[in-house]
Amino acid sequence: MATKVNSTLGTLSRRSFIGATALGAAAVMAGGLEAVSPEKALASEGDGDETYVYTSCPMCNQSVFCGLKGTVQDGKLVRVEGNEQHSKPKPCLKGLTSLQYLYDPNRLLYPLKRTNPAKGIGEDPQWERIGWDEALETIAAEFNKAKETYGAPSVTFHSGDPKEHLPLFQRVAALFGTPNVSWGGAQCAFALAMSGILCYGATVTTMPSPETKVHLQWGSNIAWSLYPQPTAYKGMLDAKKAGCKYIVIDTRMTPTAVQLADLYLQPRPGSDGALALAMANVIIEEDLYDHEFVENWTEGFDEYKEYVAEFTPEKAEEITWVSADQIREAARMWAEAGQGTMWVSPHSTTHHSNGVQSTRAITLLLALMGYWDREGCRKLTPGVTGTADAEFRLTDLSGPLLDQRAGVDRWPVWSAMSTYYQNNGLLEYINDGIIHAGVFLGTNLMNFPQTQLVQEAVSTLDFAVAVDMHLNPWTHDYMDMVLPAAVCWERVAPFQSQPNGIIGSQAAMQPAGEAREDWQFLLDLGCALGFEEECFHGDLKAAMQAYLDAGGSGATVDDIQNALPGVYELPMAGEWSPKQYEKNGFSTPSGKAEFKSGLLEQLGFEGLPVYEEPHISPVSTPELLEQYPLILTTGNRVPWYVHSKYRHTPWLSQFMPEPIVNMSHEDAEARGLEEGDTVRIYNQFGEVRFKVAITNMMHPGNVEILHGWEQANSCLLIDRVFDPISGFPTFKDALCEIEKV
Amino acid sequence: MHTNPIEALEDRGATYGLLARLFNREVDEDLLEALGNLPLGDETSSDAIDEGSRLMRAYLAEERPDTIRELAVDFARLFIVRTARTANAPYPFESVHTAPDRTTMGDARDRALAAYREEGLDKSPSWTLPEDHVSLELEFEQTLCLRAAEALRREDETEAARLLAKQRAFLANHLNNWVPAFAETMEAYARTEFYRGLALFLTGFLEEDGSYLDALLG
Repeated sequence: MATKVNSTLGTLSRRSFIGATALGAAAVMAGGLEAVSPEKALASEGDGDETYVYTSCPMCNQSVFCGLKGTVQDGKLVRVEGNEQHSKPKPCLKGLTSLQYLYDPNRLLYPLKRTNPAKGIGEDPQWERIGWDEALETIAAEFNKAKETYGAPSVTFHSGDPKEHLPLFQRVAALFGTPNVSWGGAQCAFALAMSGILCYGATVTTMPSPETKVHLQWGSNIAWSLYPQPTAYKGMLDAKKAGCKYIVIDTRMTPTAVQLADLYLQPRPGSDGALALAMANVIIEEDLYDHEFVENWTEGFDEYKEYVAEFTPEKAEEITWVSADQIREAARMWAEAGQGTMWVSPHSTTHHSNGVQSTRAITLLLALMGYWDREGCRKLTPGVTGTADAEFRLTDLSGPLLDQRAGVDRWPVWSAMSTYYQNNGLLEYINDGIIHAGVFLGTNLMNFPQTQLVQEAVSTLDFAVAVDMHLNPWTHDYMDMVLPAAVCWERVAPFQSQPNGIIGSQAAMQPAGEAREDWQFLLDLGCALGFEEECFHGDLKAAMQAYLDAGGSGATVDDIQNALPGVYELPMAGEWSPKQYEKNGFSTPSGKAEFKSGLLEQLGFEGLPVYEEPHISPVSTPELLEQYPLILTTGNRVPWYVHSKYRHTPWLSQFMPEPIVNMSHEDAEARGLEEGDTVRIYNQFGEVRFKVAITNMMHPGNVEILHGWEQANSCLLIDRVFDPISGFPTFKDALCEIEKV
Repeated sequence: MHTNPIEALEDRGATYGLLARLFNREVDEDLLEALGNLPLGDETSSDAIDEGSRLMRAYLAEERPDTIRELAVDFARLFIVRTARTANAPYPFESVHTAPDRTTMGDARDRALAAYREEGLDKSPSWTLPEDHVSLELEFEQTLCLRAAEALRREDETEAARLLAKQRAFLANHLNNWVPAFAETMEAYARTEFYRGLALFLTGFLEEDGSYLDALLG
């Protein structure tokens, strides 16, 4: 054979080479390969060295993640399972899909810089790849220029859904001097928290315990939704078997309603407050309330009692679509149980213009019954010690700046109760010349009602840089630069809190391409801005150690990593004992649970949980109803998607490959629509295209669409009206009509 | 016409090396200058090679304010800029073309990596992408060519033959099985004649090299 080679080589007559030797071999060594030791070469014999790596899953981006165990073979993640030692040991389908997500060929892996200077809707950025050094230098120069020209608050540190970066985000923002830091709680979770805190000085929602006799599940489809994850739902099923009764109140007849409810009520979207007040009406009328608690531990009961007297079940039936009989039954079931818990969704009742007040009306059903801080009820259990992070977040620097936040006057209650600024005003803050530059981490502009206005506004910023795992045109086309974020198997920060301590994360591999984990990027940004020492000279481990040190637990980063797959345990702050309010009161202005909120009154709002119609509704806007006779609700949850993510991740997108609108068969038939028809959904703002899905989940007169579809953005149909107390968008206040295309 | 088998190997190696470099990263000033010195466009046995190199030469010959930037934008558009919904793009990874769910790091990567390791090679520490990237696969062929040339220099014909057989197998199993489809997409998406030409050149060269090795080895 060798001889043949030699002779054949000499006889080939046609030349098929380009004379590339003209370049010289050295000039064109691409450098992707290198020679390695023979031992490593032998590894190709399939010895398949398996190692295990433990991390916490961020696929849904809630603040307490589920435990994951990854099997790594030869630098490749080959299997994902749960971590049995984590407090949430069973990942859902999204967690398992983290494997497919890691190896998504469409991930953003390199910093990109815009080369087309024109910004705006329809402009192609014409991205060019740049290195991290250039990226960081540019960002620092631009941010410092904005600081010199307009002041540090002109630069916003904006977050979308991710939360893991927030302590360091706040630290760097504090060093830079801007108080305009935002988090996703501005559209989710925090309004619910506000509703509880305004009444009780604490959050109120909790899962039933084995002692709970009745659980009120309001506006939340736990069987499908993201937080808490699947094991919590199993706990609810177990409680049901043990005899807990469930009152499920939801505008949609969800799997949660069908599986759990002893009593199911389906109110008109946005009428929740009236329904809750009517339940209170019955409980007071029939003298079922806890006199001892109400008389000794609440404030404003007399005015509350007078107010709810108007909300008879008959009147509420007119408002809410729920029959008076059902209202009475629910009220009695709630009151007669003796101990009860409630879970209200962090993002349903609060996505109306009456959101906080309606949600307060719901939460006050606990106070009425004294279902507080005792067995079978919401318990204020002491948490772990040693995890406080205020020092790490440099609150002593940021505190004095809070008054300078944008939106302080527009949303005084939000601004009083949160240290973040209310970012729903981003459009106006930009157009009014308050914000001139920003970093947008994990941000999705489709989150904002009348998205196109926000896209145009962001285009006018002097400089905007985004950080993300994918290039998302609806947000990033309006940026000057986009930076690649590492995904969960590629990062080690931050730690995750556990009920009994802290758990660490391990990286299975270095980030692909030049992706960087958020904590590393933020340290690098801090250094570039001139704060090398306070940002640990970019040393991630040192930063993580400082974070631990701020908590005072004495733990080291290695301690926590070495405890994996287990939790690094921390001492608890104490033991729970019932009715701590008898010693400590409530953290409210009056020191009691407040039917009439002192803080709301102080800031110019009604103290009682007054009911007002949503700003767009069949009752408040009958003239719109004529043209747009269907109530449109947006922003629900499905198990396979999170906001705008995963529409193209095969293991998840297979369940809902296209935008669909859920509607009752009555509404479909009335319009001559069949399953699968393409329709336009339209109102006074615009239109979007969806496909029909007929379901008995939806009440006739109410249709729903999922948000976050690039090609069918629900926010095009939502008004820029916000809950005056929380500043929350009104994702569920809309009317529409539907017709076949 | 090559009468010297060592020269033939070195020239094939250099062509593979050039291609590997062009797909590894953007064209920089040094490479741009060197490309200007290449005898691009001289007739070969392949129409695709000829058309490809003609396009590249025409692009390089034209005056423009910022060739480096224009090429960098095209490179980014072809190989780096993706959105979550991108489906039909010139993904430069073999796995994306051969894996059923179109992810990176599939079986193809494992097998390509095994092939490198059998020859005492692995990805270099600076390479942070999967190993079945077209640039690495081309660089592997380059290395085998240069080693075969070395073997012939020291008159080790057995080793040269072994390396050539390995080249042929790798070319069939890890390049010509996916690169033509990849290059076709690249040609459709490229906005500069340079990268359009490169796509044609790549397909043509790999096809020619496959024929060449078949003729050589029987």
